[in-house]
Amino acid sequence: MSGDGGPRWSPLAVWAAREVQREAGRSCLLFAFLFLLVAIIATPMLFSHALAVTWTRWMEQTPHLVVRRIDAGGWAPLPAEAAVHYARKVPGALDPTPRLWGVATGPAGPVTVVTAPADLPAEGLPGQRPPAPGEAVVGRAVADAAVDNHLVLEQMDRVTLAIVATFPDNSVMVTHDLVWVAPPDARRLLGMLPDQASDLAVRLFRSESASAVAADLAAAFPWPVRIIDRDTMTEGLRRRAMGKGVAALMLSLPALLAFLWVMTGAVTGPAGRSAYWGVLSAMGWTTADLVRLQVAKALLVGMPALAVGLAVACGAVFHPMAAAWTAFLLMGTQQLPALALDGSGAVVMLLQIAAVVGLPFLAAVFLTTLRGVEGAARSTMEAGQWH
Amino acid sequence: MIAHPFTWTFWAAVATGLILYGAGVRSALAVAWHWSPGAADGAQLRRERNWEMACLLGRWALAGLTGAALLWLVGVVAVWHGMVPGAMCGTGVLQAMGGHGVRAMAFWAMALLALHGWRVLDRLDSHHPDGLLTPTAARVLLLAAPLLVPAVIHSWLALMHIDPAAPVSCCAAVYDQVLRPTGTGAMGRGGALAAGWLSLAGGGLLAVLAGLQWRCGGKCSGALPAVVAAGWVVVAAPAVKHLWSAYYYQVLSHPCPWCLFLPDHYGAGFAVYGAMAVTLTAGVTLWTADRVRRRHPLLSDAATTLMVRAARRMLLALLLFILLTAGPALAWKLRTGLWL
Amino acid sequence: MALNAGLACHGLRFGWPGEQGDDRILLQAVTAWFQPGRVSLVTGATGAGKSTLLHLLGGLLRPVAGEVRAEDQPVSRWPARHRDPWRRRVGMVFQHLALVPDLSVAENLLLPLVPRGMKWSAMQAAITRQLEAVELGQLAAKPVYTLSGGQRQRLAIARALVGAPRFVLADEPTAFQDDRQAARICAQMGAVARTGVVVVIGSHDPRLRNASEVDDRWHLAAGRLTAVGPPQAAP
Ligand SMILES: Nc1ncnc2c1ncn2[C@@H]1O[C@H](COP(=O)(O)OP(=O)(O)O)[C@@H](O)[C@H]1O
Ligand SMILES: [Mg+2]
Repeated sequence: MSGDGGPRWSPLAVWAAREVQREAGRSCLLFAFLFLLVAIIATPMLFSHALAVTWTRWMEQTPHLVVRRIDAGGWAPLPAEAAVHYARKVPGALDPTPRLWGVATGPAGPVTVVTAPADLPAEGLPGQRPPAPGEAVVGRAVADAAVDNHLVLEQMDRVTLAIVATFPDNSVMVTHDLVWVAPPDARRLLGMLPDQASDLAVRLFRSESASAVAADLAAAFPWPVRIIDRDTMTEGLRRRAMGKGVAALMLSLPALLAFLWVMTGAVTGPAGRSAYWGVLSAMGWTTADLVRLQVAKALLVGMPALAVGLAVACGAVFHPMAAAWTAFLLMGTQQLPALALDGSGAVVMLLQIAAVVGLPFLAAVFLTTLRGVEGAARSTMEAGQWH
Repeated sequence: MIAHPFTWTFWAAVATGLILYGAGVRSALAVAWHWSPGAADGAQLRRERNWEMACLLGRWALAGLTGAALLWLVGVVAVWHGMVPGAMCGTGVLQAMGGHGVRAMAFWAMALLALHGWRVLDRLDSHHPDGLLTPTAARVLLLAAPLLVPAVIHSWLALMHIDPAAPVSCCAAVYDQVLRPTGTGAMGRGGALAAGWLSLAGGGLLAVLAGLQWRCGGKCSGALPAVVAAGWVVVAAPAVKHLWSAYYYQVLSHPCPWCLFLPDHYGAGFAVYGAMAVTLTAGVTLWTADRVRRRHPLLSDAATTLMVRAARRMLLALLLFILLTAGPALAWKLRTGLWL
Repeated sequence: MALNAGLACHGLRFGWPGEQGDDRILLQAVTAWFQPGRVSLVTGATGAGKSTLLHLLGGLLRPVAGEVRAEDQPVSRWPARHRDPWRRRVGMVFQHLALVPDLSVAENLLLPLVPRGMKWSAMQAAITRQLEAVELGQLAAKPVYTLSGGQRQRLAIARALVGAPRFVLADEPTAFQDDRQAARICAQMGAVARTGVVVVIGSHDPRLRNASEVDDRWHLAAGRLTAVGPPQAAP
């Protein structure tokens, strides 16, 4: 008897669509609820993922190791030629390059002053001519704060610069507070002598050797140094990308899913349907048929809700305008205006989110249907109520 | 660790499967001990309804839990190694899981086999309204619980054991086995060759048995291929690890079963170990259906049909296994004139 | 005709759960054989248990003792997952109709067909045929709540017949009908029975008692079913 195969899906699917329309209120409620839940879960997850990917991308262009000299007062400039000389003696440390950069006070807060294109991500410099003394190429935030295209920076000294260009918008995530100046201006501003550098960048043949080379390097210099490797920096950024909002979401995910479960049970459950299901089962619908019907209905409502929710999350994360708001809400900071996030791997992420929400949803529909059918069956078999 | 979205996907599948299974168990409890076929009292009516629910729940739970186990496998072989510094493949991940990972997998496999056995009984049971197998099926469904619980607990412990700050050395673990051939899990060259030949011969024998079963329409015994299948899996797993995988890696002395799942080797591990899993489950089907056929002549036809299908599945899986293990070895021999 | 064909009940015993928990026995040892190809009428006073008997025959209730055999299968002993699909072979006209009021007439007829794995065209043809047969062809698209009581009852009959059942169990099918429709329904039941279907009608309507289409007559009283008119042999 039960071996004679299930129904064809098409009449069942059409009937499910009819029932969705018949229960328009409940369907809309379920749709709105699912859509909101998916958007709430997907936005932070997608955001932190995209941020992490973007940071990792940028970080790939930074040196493997950075050596800084320290003294009692903290950070100290290091003698460039001597530093290069010591670093060369360490096997595995390639291309030791002295860098000249620092932090200065601009009109709207601290800015980062750099001097060499090598310190800048490739995206920041599409054919940009290096600034001559007295000139500056600045990031968006700095440009917005400048008056009359002139920029006054203060640190050890006071320097006035003419803004000749701004970094392009797509690099704004790393360049927004950046000021690119000629080396003499930087030295004057940061109070460094001609032979001094801020730090020493070192490239490695294999990034796995970072800890070994760092130890050798520390021993090779006659003054105390602090060495930061790229993985440590990346890890720190990754932590930042997680953000408080994302962490809170992760912790509250079980609660959200439990809420999904309860809500789905309430909306798709047997309330007001048990007489109807009793009639259906009197006409030869099996429990499995009723489950198929309910699952088909749930899919008809759930799939579009899932799709719309994920689309909204994508928009909130990858649309530059929306991303700024998302960043503000999730990270509590406007330090990342006009994010242009990297979308690679987002599809896999979306599939995972769909599974995280979709599986409990379907299970809830299934379980509530079974409960309802059991109740309906009891009423048909034992009470015989038909009206 | 806990924050990785893939981990969430895994736990969502586990939780879904467990809730469904738990609901099924609740319905099956009364059935397993108080089943009184033919009685017309309200309690038996309720038990019959409950059993129908339990069967549906069990089927969905089996799907959910199988999905969860597959996600676990994918996580171990392809996803989580990105978060364990130094891990290249599943070996490193399992190392970081510190023993819980392997135990979790063993319990998952046993629990799913038990549920598969239940499913065979359930399918046969549905062929006759008298519910001849109902109490047995209910007990087998309950039997999966003591296997599922440790599977879930060990999965949890394994994932919590992963420390993103503590590097592992993935390949060192593999090479250790080669350098210190006396260690556990190690296998000499001779042993590997013997396992290889045994896996091929056993696979061939099993294929013949399955083919015979198929040709004779399920009339042959189902116990023999089942027992051979169980023994064969025990031999074939080390053979893949120590011998056949070398032709994928194209180096000797890298007896790592997990690298085989990597995209670099076309994810061949999924197919090779998948074929072994299909063979094993088909063996379970043959054994169960054969026993049912002997005890309940009324279910004989249904059991025979099921056995023929299982035999066909087993044959195809074995052919795939032989193709994917001996095939690359032969290709290597033809290309280079040597065996590895 | 094979003795095991049709719908038979042996020693059927049933009682609704009483208020104090003691079961009030409504039917005791009901034994009958409803043959295929014949229209059987079960009469009895209201409250005698006609509807209950039909529900027992249709597998909606389970007897406390005895069994219902359909084509020699003990369907009343079957568990739900076998009895539910078997019910696709039963067409039931409920005394309280049990239509879905917010669905249209045609959609109500679609309900029993959806899980049967039929093609759309076949379903549509069956629906149209049944609506014509009960003279409701014009109202196919109307929602059921706009129909009159008699029209609803005819719709319930059409719904019972639309799936080409082997067993038709009609509970008071003429209760809300005028004489012309009552006669037409009798004729329809007779025509259905002629195709080899078991037709059992439970009714206290005198128009049915005197109808020529009725082949076998049973009377239900004091929990016992007795054959009246032409004598009946139990299997
Ligand atoms: N769902 C029910 N629960 C309890 N008692 C019922 C129920 N349905 C019917 N009865 C009782 O069963 C008796 C027979 O009812 P019924 O079969 O409908 O009679 P008939 O159809 O012959 O008029 C009535 O006395 C009624 O009170
Ligand atoms: Mg009545």
